[in-house]
Amino acid sequence: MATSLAACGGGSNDGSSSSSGQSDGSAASGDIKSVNVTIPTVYDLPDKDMVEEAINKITEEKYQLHLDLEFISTGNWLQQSNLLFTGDEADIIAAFMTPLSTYVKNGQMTDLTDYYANASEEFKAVWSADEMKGTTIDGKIYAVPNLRNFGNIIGLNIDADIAAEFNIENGQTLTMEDIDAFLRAAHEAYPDRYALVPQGSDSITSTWTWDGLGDEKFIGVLPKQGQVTEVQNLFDTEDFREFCTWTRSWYTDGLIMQDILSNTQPFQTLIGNDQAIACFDNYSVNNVAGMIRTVVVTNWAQSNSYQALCYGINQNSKDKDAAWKAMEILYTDAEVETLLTDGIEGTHYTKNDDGTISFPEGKTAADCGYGMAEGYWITPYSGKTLPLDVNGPTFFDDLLKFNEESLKTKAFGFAFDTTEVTDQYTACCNIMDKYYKALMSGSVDIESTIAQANAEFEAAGLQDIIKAKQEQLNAYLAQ
Amino acid sequence: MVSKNKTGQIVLNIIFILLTISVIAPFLLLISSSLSSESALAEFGYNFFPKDFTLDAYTYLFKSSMKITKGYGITILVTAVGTVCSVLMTTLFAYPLSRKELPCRYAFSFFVFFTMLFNGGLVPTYMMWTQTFHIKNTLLALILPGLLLNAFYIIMMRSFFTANIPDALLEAARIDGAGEYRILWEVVLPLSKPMMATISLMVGLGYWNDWMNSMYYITDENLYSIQAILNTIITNIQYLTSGQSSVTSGVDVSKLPSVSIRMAIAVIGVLPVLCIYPFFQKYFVKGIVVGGVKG
Repeated sequence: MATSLAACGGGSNDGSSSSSGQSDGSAASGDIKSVNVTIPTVYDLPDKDMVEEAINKITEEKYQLHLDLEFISTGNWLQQSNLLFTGDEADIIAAFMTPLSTYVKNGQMTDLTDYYANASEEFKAVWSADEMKGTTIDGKIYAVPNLRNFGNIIGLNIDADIAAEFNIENGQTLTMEDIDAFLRAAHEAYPDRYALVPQGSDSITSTWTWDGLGDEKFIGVLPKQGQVTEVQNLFDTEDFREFCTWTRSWYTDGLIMQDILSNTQPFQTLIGNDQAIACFDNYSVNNVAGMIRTVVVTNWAQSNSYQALCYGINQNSKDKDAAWKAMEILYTDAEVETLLTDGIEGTHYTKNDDGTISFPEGKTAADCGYGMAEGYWITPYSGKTLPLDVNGPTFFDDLLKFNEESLKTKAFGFAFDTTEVTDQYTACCNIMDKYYKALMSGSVDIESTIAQANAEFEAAGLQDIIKAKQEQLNAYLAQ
Repeated sequence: MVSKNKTGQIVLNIIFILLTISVIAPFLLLISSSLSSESALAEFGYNFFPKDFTLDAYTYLFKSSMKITKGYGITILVTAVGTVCSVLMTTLFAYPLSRKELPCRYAFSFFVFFTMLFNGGLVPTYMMWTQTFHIKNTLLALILPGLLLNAFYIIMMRSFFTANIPDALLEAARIDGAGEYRILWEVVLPLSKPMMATISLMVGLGYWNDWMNSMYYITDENLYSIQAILNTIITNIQYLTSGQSSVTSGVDVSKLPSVSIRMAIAVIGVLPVLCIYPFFQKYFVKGIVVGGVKG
């Protein structure tokens, strides 16, 4: 038993370069190189092999490259991707969940500066040198961004029927005073519903107007959409205090659920089931069913927005030249892109007259066999693929325009390196975890809690972090 | 006297009935909520009787992962092979350790003890298994790492042998002309049934519940064990509903049956074990008591 299993193991491992038998014939000719591409996914993709085969039919003939696709679900991504970097299994791999700067610091990502300099015009047309700054660290390019909305509008999602009743239109700009008035009136009219529910299960909103400078914990931020350059303690910024003052008054007046910090229901469920009226949400050009969107904070991009999900080449990759060639294909060949993102026509999607695609009759992304179309924001580049029907025919053009119009923080492309203040940073993260969500949700008194938190921050060395951050930022801005 | 005894009985019975209810009730709640619709759960909370009865969660599970049946197969195979190998190896290690004649007995014991206290950590372990032994994406990856040999079980079994198999018995067998293997198979093992059953059950449960090996060593989803599949489904849903990703547009999260699905996943994961457990139970209790008290 054991020997037969072992034999099986050796076989599949040696064969990883030509994962399916069908490519063996051509591989023997010696010209076709194999490149592994590792991509996160939120759905099970049982038809992956079928798509891979279709892609390789194109790439082997056109580019003499065999792409070996590997999908890892987001739940396993953090562990598996970190383990993959210890060996040479992965060639092209997404920098996702672990910050790009960490990979670079560990020496795990290949410097792509020269590759980009010599890249085809077609590739440079996709990402201009200016945009590549978003994934540049210490003057070197380490990854290629994928296509998503880099900026976000932050606004209030409101149940469509109730919004109509209160004469609020989709896309309308609201001030916090407007929201306050609306929430109170709506609460009056629908006392059995929560007026405001969290965006993520227990956090009232995931972003607002402060830029963490590549640091998701917001230890030292640029407020005012990153339009100032002085690094400040988040709890001392006007933006933060103002936001918390509003939520505090809503919380004490019963507009926010009292057990917000232990909520596990997503807002879509709460509002969809008529249990809630509104929630804060960040978005770009996409809509959400049954709700209208409004604008509170205009479209702006944080410093690390390009780096949150981008594709780099593993430092241990055996053939980096081939890997870069494959990278260019993934960003420039419309046929390959469409196969990778949407799957195979007729099997995984059907085309509509307006140029959009739909999942086959009665199927969804979860069960059509290859639901990556819903994950257009994950694949390397979806700009040349077909948009899903819910997003509309001009979706990708809108998205590109949206990104162009985003207000970029002054620290755009900057990523804070925590090495020199590791101890202080860890300590401050713990303090932030303790107070941030509670303050944002309005469930604790603002002044006394901030005073308490600041005292703890002081002891934990927040000033060292802010000083280090400021110094690094100044050096970055001076470049 | 009799009446006093009777009240005692009644009180004891009541206590145990209450204890039993406190164990069974959550299970009923679990099963009932896995059969309720998501909106009913959101509206009325958990109930002992499913409100708005639906099989949506199960349909979603089997639809979203057509591999659930396959996963069951993999898990059953791995559990069976793994348990047999593990019990065999544990016995073959523990028995000699229990014999005073073994040369370097303490050195071997130390070797076992040492691994209870220290290990190489995840990354070196991963590198060893994938780069030296090349077990990535094979069934061996589900059997070998971490689960095959557990120092604690070896010690437990060694104590059992030392305490329950008298030297005189072995001597008698030897005088009758039995060799070492024959002594082990025909004298020692038949006397150790409760211990074997206990270790089998614990090792078996370990294999059944394992999803870490799948997460670390398996990227080919065709080889995922049932627990790994369920874990993947649940973490994907968590990711989609967490709102962390600024870009999960397109996905209509309200249609994902997140709470009821979690319940259905728990039911699917626990049901087979629930069915098998009663058959092992009598050995299980005996084995622990014997191995624990006298060892």
